[in-house]
Amino acid sequence: MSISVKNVSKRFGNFQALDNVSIEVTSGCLLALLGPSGCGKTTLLRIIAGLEIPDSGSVRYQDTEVTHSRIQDRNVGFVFQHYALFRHMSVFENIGFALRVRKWSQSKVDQRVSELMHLVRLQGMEDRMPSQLSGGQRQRVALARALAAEPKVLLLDEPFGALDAKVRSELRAWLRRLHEEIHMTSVFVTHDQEDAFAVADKVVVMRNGRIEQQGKPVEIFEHPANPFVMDFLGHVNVFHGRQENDVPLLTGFRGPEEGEGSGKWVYVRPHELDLYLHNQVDGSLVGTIIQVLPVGGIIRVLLEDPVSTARIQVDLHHLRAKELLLENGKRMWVAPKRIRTFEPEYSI
Amino acid sequence: MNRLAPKVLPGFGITLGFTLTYLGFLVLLPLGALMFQALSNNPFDFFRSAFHPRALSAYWNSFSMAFSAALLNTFIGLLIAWVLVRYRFFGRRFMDAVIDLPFALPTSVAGFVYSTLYSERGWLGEFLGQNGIHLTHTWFLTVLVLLFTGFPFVVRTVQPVLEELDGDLEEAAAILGANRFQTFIHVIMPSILPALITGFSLAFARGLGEYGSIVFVSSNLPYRSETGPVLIVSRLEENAINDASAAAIVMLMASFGMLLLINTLQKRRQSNG
Repeated sequence: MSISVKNVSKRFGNFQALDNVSIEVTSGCLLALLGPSGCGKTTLLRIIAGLEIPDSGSVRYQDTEVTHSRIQDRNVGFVFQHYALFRHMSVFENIGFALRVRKWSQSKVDQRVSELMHLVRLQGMEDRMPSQLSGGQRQRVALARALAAEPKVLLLDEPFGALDAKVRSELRAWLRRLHEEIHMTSVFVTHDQEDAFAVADKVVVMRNGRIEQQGKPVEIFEHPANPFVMDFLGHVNVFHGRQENDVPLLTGFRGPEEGEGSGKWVYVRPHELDLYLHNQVDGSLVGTIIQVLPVGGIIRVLLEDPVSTARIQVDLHHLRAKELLLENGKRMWVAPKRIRTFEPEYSI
Repeated sequence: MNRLAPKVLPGFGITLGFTLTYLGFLVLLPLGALMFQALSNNPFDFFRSAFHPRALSAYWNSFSMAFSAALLNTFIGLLIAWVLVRYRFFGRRFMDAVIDLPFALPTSVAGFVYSTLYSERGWLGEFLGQNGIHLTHTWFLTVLVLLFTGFPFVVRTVQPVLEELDGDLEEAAAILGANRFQTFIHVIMPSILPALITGFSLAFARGLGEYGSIVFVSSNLPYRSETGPVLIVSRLEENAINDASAAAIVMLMASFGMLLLINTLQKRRQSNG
């Protein structure tokens, strides 16, 4: 079932939580609402669920207008950030709650709950209480509970927020696989771009109650619409420069001509910079290495521009790093493989 | 455990010592004296006075009135706590403060006010009398005054639990399809039940021991409307100290047993989840 949000605005007192926001979630799509805290992403999710009523605008499920319909009638699955499991109920009772209030027969409830226990891989834990479960298990119980009454839409509020890194990445992969199995239209909220990019089909980046950009993860990552999106999606080196003959001039170097954008500030991701022992590329910048850190599969090199004392972060493949014999204090030439320029219009 | 290892919280010895002394002087010593007084005569006398028909009727009156009042208070108290926690309205803070009045007001004042108000010449009594309702010295009026003295207990025990109640849980229940009633029964009630039971026990215990207000509103007729505490005082006035202490022991044991039972049931329920 598709979800369509049109021109939705919501105010809380003096705070404009959402300002004329529209999104389309196609049927079977897994969409991520991404943004810093206070950007309105959770409010938007709650409006889609029916937990908040928008001040203006409309929400439609497929062809049905649901903006003002009762939350009980919408049949959405919702997973709360802190799970909101019923503490006095066992895992079985939690998962079966939606069925019991719908007056399903005991045998049908048993059957459905055991199906779900299998789906979320919690077989044998039916009689446990929520307090006896780990964070990841609670999350899966919350998910099974949300799926019990076969909702048409699944909404998740910061589904990985309260988990440690390892469980988080496992659950991420698992959620992605689950989505491929059941193909339910899903929307989840996150402030972590890794969550969004690892799981979602489509990402909506939000700021201050507005949508900054929406599209496929690769699209957004490769072609950020503005400096905010670029900055939010990961570390970025910013060089203040000026434009000359349509080519951005940097304090130290000139970027390659295939750069994107037409602004005065140049944005380069750490992995899009390369280091050279000698000045090979026209207009390279000179920097002194101050730190070399192996981070996962890459080597992260931190350099300082001796003139402006600006810090430059460069991510290198470890083979390339070996070649260059990196060490602290060594002077290197920095040149970009790819740049983007934006007008200096924003501040965080 | 290593005796030399410094403890996180010092002063265990002195605080426990103080606690025991305090308990001993204020609770155990008087109760022991009561026991001694009651049992200093022969056991036969003790049982005769403890289970004298007049005493039995007084116990029954006390327990039935206190129980009814506590039960009603549980509902009324829950309702008041709910309104105070869930809604924002003009005068809420004032109402919140008024709840504590029965704690502060001497109960004899409450009894006096109630008996005057509902007497044939009182404001309410006169009006009710014209409509054929006479409440003076009735069981009903006694329960009413017990309602007054006991209801802050329920409000004050349930209120903080309601305030702490996670709003997510109710939203979760609603999203899962539960209506307001189902949400209340299956989600809210189990969370506040322990507090509700505690409030009930406190109100009940308060009602059992009530004297000051009851002497005013009740007719205090032996065998009919006399309650335990009233019986004990009138026995003392008759200089029948052994009878008084025998009745006191029975009241004490029964109340203690009752509270113990409630606590045990609650513990068991909690450990079952």
